[in-house]
Amino acid sequence: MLDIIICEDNSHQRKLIENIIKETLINLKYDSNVDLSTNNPLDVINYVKINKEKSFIYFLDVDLNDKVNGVMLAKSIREYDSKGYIIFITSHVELSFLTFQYKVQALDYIIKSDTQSLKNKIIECLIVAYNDYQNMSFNVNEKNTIPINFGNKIINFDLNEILFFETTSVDHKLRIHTYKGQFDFYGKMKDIEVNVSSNYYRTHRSYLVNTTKIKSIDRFALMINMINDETCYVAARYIKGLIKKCLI
Amino acid sequence: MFDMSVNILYALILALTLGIILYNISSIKITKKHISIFITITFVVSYYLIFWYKRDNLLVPIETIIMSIYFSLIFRKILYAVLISIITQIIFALSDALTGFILIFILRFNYSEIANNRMLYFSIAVIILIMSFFISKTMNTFFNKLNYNYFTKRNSKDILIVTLSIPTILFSMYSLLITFKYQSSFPNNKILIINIFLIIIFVVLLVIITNSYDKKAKKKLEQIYKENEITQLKEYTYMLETTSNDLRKFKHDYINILQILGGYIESENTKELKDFYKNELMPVSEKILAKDMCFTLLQHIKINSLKGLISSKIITAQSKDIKIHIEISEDIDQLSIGLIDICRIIGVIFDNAIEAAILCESGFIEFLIIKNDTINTFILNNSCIDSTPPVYKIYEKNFSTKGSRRGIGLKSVREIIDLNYTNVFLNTSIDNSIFKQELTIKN
Repeated sequence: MLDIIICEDNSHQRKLIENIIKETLINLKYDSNVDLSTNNPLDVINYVKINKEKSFIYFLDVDLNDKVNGVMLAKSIREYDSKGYIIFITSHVELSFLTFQYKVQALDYIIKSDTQSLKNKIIECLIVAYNDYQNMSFNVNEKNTIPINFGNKIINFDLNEILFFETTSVDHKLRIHTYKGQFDFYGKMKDIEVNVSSNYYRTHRSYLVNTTKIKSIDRFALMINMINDETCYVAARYIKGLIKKCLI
Repeated sequence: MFDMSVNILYALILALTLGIILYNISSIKITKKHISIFITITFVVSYYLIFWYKRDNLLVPIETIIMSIYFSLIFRKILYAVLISIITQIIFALSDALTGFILIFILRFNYSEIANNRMLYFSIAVIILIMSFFISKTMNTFFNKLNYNYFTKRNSKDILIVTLSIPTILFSMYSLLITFKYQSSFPNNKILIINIFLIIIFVVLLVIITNSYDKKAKKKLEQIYKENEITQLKEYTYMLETTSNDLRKFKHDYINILQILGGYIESENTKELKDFYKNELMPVSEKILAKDMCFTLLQHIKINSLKGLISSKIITAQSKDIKIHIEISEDIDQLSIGLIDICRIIGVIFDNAIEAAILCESGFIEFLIIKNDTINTFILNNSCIDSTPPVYKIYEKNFSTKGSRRGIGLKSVREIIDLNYTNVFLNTSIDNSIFKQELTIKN
């Protein structure tokens, strides 16, 4: 399943981490191994390039004493493996961790302190990564998600969390409305329509609505009330189809 | 019967023309529903005025009044509605004049011919409609500058000039029309040419006045921002000096500590060494470590007004005991967004974050600037209380947690972005009692 790649220039620490991981994999009975353990970031990039269909869990040292540091390495990895899990290893509290999270979607960071806390943290990260991967594969296989391109990153939105898509007054700028908030991105309604589940219905030139999240429909005002009390509209010519869809 | 249907259509075309002009030049979006209601009202009133009461010289003032009242109610901005209504009438007059010009001088129709032939009169109305559409579409770029956003700033002298000149123009054109209509029942071509010429001059005057007002309004705003920038940069410099002083003190303390440690080590006094570490060294170092270095991160922002603004907001947040975490790792030299706009947007978002974080027990704010090739992302996360309204409510019209009409709010921020920029995106969400704003700017 998810194999492991380690990149750390201090050979003693690298061995230590490698052993902890191997031990954990056996204990948790995970079906993976440490595919690569090196001090050279270029090895990592080459390996990932060759195996670009696979996703890995990466343990990367932030301060690699090379031309390529940990973050740059992570960036290159992301070009080939957008779904892998990146965990940074650092010697002190990482003040720029949120930046790493946003830039390369890093999972977590581990401080090189005593062996026991190192071990605990590694175990924690491995478990989180595995659970997420299984969840993700399930969702992708069940077509429960839709990838949305935000320019600098692609996020898989859970189709079950989206209330509706809306066009904005700017050409080709669409807005997703979810329980949590609103997100703008570039896209065409037509392209989205083909990628969503059959629960979604185009109620209006400007709205693509998740019919499972509708609370009520006002036929005369042509308004739709969503579960969270947000409102959107239905055009007169689509109202019949919408009601039919909702009653199924 | 035929006559009446032509009359009805004529009045309808008239109303439609006004509706189309207003729809094209208004910088506030008007829904189709509102414009249809307006057209209906104008149609009914025009029909009765022209064909029943036969007082079509009252058409212009009455239409202007109806338009102003109706759109004041819809826009909720009386001044802007009145001005835009008057400008609509002026554009209508321009189309009318140009159509007349083309018909009489290019197509060689006779004026009396037109006045008496019903069908011809009607077709002219249609031509005026088409011409108004094109003129208003092209003039849209000029009148968009009369942006209602700038109208909210109280530059009273300039607003007065614009406010007085626009109706004056309409009034002059109107009296001109009336004079020509009633003085000579057979107007000769010379008078018609003068008429058209004057109308064109008035329209040009109108465009010049609105444009110069817009330039003045912009300049004034920039001036205010420049003044703020200087104050903010002064505060920033002060904070840097404080940080620098703290560092100096720390160096001093550090040397002392090393000497004391050295003393204990040489005398091999382990107990006193331990005591010293526990009672003196650790507490002091915790205090030092807790001191903020976030101001030094701001040096990566090479845009001075933005640096000053953010520094000022951080100082405000810290004064309210809000924990601030800042991460800026790369230089920001250039942003493809207007300076005033980015300062406004970040200012609003930061103010909102501070107000929300204050309400929390241990409020915090995370501010990140991330650069990815040509994309700059500003991220502002703040803790918020559970009773925070959902995101869509905050973006609704007239929403404000501070009571009505205070601050420009997130809705205006979105309007600034949607009205002017195709390369700027704002994502807002609430997750686990953390309010997240993500502003992306593609260069």
